[in-house]
Amino acid sequence: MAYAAGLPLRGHNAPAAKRLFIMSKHEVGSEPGAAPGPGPFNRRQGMAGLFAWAWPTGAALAAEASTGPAPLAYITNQGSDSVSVLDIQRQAVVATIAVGKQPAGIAVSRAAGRAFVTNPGDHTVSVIDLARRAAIRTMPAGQGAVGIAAAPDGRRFYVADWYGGQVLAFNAATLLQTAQQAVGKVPAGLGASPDGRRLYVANRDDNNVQELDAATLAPLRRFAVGEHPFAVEVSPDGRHLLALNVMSDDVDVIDLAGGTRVARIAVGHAPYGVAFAADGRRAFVTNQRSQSVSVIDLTTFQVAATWKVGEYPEGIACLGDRLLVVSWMEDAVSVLDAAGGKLLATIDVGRNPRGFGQMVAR
Amino acid sequence: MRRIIAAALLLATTLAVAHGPTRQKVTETITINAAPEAVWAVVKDFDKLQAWHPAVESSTATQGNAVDSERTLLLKGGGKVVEKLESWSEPDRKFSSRMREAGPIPVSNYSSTLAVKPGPNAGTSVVEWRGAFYRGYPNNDPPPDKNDEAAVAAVTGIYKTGLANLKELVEKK
Repeated sequence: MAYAAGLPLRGHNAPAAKRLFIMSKHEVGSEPGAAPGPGPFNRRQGMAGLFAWAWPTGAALAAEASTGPAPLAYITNQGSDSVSVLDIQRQAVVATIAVGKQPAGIAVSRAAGRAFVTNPGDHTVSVIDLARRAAIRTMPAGQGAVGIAAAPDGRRFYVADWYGGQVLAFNAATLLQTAQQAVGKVPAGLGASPDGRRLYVANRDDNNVQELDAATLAPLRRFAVGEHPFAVEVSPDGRHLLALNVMSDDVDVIDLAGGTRVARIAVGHAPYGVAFAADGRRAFVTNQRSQSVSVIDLTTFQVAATWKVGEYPEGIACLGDRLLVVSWMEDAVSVLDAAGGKLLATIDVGRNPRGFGQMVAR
Repeated sequence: MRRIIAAALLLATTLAVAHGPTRQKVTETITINAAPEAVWAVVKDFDKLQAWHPAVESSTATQGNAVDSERTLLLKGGGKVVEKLESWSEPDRKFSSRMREAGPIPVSNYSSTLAVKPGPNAGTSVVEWRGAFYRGYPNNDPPPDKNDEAAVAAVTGIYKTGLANLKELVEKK
């Protein structure tokens, strides 16, 4: 990952370059429990740290400054204990961030300027500073959290404690725990409502999705769904909850106003992740064991198309006209055209990538 | 009595799918100095693992190479493994199966694919055996003999031993 030679350090890039140099002191490999903010310069890590962080080119920096944030996706690599930062326009990994053990879940929050990662391997959560592209804290969170979600306003994040049967809420700035609620058995995926008022958790082994108050985590309604719900997400218009049933191979659509199921849609084997099209009219579901993505029309609740993708497709995200699909078996991310499913690029990431949750900034 | 049996079956089903959050994968390959057709001829039958894997005492299947065929493997030294065939393709020279009973192997939710592909030179083949699985112990903080590393080591051993023996067998012919 050395990018030492020939880097532009002068001219219009000088101020940005200086900022990057200082930040490189405490990027990759942050200590668990380390406080955010500058720490003592570690000489051993110093030069290696400087080069280990992928240094964006001058052109990319200029583009970032002028057009707003680059379209980035954050992929948890469960086998490499890292997160790959993908620049979707450049179709390349631009940084690799060390996190805790066996990272799985991810929630990227533009409002918080942070991404939150669950590490079920060592019962921690890592907090990534998006601008610095580094984990600023890795902290204990329950007995082994997997699902994670951020509040739309970026003020809170939530984890579903797979082994502990609970949901925890944290202040996204101070990282202090603010609430805790016992839920059902093996809580898996979490989905936040776009208005920020509600949080939904899939109780995998109870075959239901539980609704919680997003501020207090007080339990509200419970919706019976299919077998072993894993991922849950609310549609961008806030009207529908989608629950992916990994054992019954279907997707339940719950009308949130009325609280009833309006559709049960058969998809491929072991549906894992769901993303919504930019206009909210379609949902894309990865079928882990069918090597495919099911495209669901949200006006008719029918499968409009099934697209072939790599082996063990898992995390999925839609950004504009691009659909990103993580292939766990191939250790790569496929970039597809979101309109027709055509494969545009395949980008290698770390080992056993999952990307469970929100891989791109909301 | 029926309710007790039903409850026990439900528990068995739940335990069978209970797994932790971290899936593992193993891929082993070997190059054999024989044409793909010759290698495929040895490995293609779902019920004939015993013919080329040294750890297997006997192997039988319920429906040959038809999808949903179930094979029972009795292992040397004791232990029984049951696998269900999920796909089988003569043109692709590959088949995939899912384990229903892991027996002594410390895995759960295990599936695997065996494929014979043309090798780097004419008259050679590459056999790829690939598996995806979780460790057998479904709870947190597993003991060392039942953790992720143990599961990976067990499956790697099975694949390496089998492929090495396959190579010897085919090249001897």
